[in-house]
Amino acid sequence: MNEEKLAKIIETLIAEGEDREELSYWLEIYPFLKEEKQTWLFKHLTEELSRIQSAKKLS
Amino acid sequence: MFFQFFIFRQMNQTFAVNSFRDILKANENMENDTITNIESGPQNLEKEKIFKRCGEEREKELSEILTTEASEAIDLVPFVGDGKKIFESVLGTTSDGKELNGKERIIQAAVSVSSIVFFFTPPGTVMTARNLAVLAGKSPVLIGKIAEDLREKGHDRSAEIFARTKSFMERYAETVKETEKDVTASFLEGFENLKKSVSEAFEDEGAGDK
Repeated sequence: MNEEKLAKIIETLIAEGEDREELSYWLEIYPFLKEEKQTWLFKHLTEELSRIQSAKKLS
Repeated sequence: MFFQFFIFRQMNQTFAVNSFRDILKANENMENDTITNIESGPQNLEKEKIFKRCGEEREKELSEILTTEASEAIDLVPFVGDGKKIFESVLGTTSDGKELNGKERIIQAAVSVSSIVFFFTPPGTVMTARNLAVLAGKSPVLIGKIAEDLREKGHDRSAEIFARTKSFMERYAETVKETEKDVTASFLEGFENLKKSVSEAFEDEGAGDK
């Protein structure tokens, strides 16, 4: 899984107002997570970002 | 003339906002942050909802990750049934119902996992945490001890997760202290309720025998 890509998603989420401290922690532990959990985190944050972007478009 | 009009318009707007607040407060007894949410518009309200939902999901996942990884190092009592219910009820909010932010959720998950070690580990295994009178101030130590045990057993990847969680907790010592108090209280309350329901069940059974 691409760590740089995850870092970019996290930065965008932080810019949208997400908790910097929390997401920095996730980024820190990401390389040590089991593969299935890495996949989960990546998918979860991507989905969160796309939900936020959809909410923006709707308003 | 234009300047006067501008001042008048600004005053009117301020008055309108204040009146809006007053009406909401007086008629619906709404809290300040609810009013702020309304004023910040539907987009921000929707965003907040998404943040909250996703944050809660991450907290649950982190608790699962930590308990699963910890079980490779320590002999956790099978964490099912009522114990699991008590654990799950601790997550998400504080005992007085306060919403948590992201950082607090990480800390709550970590403190809850140390509580499991504290309350559910058989004596003589990972650490004699049971000998400690209270959890207060001990959760980063417990998390650090799990990291050491994992490393000793060759689980370097899992050990790193705990080591970094410990560092995170140490960075926010005050929040950890508050969370420890809250989580311990919730666990003890959960145990009390559990004890009560078990003894009631025994009493009912005894009455049935007579």
